Amino acid sequence: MLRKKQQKQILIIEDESDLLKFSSWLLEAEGYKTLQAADGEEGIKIARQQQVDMILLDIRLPHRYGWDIMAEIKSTPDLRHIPIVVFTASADIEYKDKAFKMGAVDFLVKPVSAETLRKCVAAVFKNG
Amino acid sequence: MKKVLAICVCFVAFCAFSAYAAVSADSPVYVRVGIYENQPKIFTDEQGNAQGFWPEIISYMASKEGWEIQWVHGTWTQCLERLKNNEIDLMPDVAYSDARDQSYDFSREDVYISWSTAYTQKDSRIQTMPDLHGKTVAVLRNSINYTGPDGIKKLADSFGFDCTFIETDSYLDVLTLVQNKAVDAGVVSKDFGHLHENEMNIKPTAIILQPVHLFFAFPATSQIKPYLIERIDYQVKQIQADGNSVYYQALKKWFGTNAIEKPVLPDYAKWTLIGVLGLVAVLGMGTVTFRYQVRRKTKELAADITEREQTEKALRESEEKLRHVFEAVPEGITIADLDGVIMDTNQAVVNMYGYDSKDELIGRNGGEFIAEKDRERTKDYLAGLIEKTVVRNSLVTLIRKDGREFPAELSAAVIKDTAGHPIGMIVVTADVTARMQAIAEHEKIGEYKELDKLKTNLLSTISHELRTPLASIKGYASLLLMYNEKLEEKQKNESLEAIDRSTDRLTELIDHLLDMSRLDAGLLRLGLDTVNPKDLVTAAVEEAKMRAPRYRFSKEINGRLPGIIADGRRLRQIIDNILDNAIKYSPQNTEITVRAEVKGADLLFSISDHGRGIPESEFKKIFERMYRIEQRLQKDPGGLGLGLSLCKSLVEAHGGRIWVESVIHKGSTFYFTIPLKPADRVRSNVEKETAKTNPDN
Repeated sequence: MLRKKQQKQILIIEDESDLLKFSSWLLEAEGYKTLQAADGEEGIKIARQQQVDMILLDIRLPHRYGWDIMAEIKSTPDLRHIPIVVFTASADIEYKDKAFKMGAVDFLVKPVSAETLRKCVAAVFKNG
Repeated sequence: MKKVLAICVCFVAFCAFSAYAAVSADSPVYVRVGIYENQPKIFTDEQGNAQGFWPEIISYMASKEGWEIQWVHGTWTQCLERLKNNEIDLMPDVAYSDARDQSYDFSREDVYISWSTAYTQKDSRIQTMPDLHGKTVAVLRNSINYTGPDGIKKLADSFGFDCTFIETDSYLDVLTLVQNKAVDAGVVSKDFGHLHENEMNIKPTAIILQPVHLFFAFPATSQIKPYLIERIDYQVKQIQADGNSVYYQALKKWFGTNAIEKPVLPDYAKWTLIGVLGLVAVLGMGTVTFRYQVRRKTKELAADITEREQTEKALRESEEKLRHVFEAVPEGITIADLDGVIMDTNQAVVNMYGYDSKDELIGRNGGEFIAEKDRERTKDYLAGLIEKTVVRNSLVTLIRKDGREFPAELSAAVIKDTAGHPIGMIVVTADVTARMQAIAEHEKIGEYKELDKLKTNLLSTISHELRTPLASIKGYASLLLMYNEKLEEKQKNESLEAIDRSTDRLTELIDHLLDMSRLDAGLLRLGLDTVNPKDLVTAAVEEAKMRAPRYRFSKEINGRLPGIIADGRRLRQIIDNILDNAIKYSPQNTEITVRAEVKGADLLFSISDHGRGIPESEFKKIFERMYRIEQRLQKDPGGLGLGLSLCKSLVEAHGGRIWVESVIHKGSTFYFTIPLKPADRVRSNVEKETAKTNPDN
């Protein structure tokens, strides 16, 4: 199990450095590898270049909204298979509906506890 | 073949001889002759005896040929019908026509030449054909002068004259109608008319129809016809050749004239006659030519008159139509001279200005009805009309009779005479009150919708911004709780610091929201104290470094900066806010610089970045509260978007001012000043600021 988890690499796309760090520490404590990007462009670049097994995606990103990034990932043949969890501080119900319509596997509203995040990621890999 | 031919000839000869023999036998030949009332040519007297020119000729011929004449009386139409049906054998006084040739046969020798004349009342002004246009004309049914090729009907049609023909059964009926003024004119044979004109108090007009040759007519299918034609032609020739014959006597008796004379004159007179005839022929030709020309000219004249009348009628109808349209058009139409004096208006103008009639407007200068503020502009606008010919859609304010003003749209066109010289103008005025109100309402609705949208977005943004530091607090706290043993010491410390920082951030946001609320409520007050600008800038920069480690922050303090009386917390808030914007709008690893220096009587702060820049058109707008939010949501997430408007309020509360300079894609520099000695002004400005942001206070 630990070995499987170690193979999993999670890309976190988040512009708030504190939240980026928190998510990264939590997932690494859970045995996952993490890749970090402070904006969507950087995130896509990383996803193209490295093995990414899951993306934790914020929506309110600088320069390009998370929706744009999600649309691009889902329309890229090499990337569309990557499960995406939308991780946003926007509690709008429209955001949730939109996230799932665009292909997200889960939708988390900040603030989330470490436990919630852990469970969410575990569920993704269990189902995936 | 020759034998057959000979037999045929003999047979025909026998038939002809038999027919001749049949009628030349001792027993009389009964000849049925039609008679109608056309004095003096043919008529019945009071005793019912046939009288007139034709009966005398016929009687003579009958005596010569041994005929028993049976007179069959009827109307002209009846006689023709009987002739057609072989109910009579002979009909005198019949003019030849192609149409009649289908139904009858005719003698080869013409007996008489006659023509017809139109008669009218003595006081009538009818003289020529054009005068019959639109008139009623009595005619003899089926007469050659009515329906013949040169009859009055054909003549009227060829001229295009609209005549109503009243058909009668006799010439007497025709003239009686004329006499009684039941018709305007009547056409009869000239002899008949001449005979009765005095007793009936009527007069001939100059309308004379083409002369016709009159013959004996026979039924087309009569057995006796060939015999009669042959005998009558013979007799007519005889009597016309004899100057003393019944023919000439009858002419003289009934018409007072001689017909064409047959050659019975001595030789010496013959040549005279030939000369006379020649002269007559020439004159006749001349007359015919003249008549043709007169007829042609009459026709042209009639056509001209008709055309003129038609043109006049068309013009009247056109003018009426135009007037109707002029008055009915819902837009105001004014016709004025070049000085703007009103010459005519339509009802729409009268209604628009609230007057009772156009008389109250005509003669006045149109400028009187334009509001003072628009008068000069409108004058220039109409002055340009001469050059441009048409000017369109000038929005002006006009004044009604009761003094109320209303918005209107003017369009004008110059009126020119046939030489192309401007002589006036036509101005179209549309009351656009309803339209302007609709636009204003639409704009207001648009504004409300915009405000509503912005409010919704504001709430969404506030929610997001508050949740972000909360996410850090919650996340790190739960991380520490769940993974305390797994985390390194450094990680634990950083987690606690992040919690602390986020708590501060959250506090700041809440304060920000509260500040905006206080501003709206007019409760914002500055906490004044001595502030060290250098320390202020240093602290702000250091904190920014912690907050955004991926950016390069620097500070520049130029010269010695004196302490200032200000609200240090608020100044820090201003700098932090501008720094936050710089971070959000600049690419990572770019430099953001905070500067402070003394500039005249102020302390000048500036924060420069290398971000995307701001368009010049938005330099003022970015300090407006709602505008900021809208822009940021579209282009860049994060932040309440209220910061710059709060900065502006806080700076101005200190007595300073705030502005931006920027170049697209190069970066922006925000400046704000704080007066070095603002003490008195600051207090009053605080009050002014709250009043401005809360005008209801």
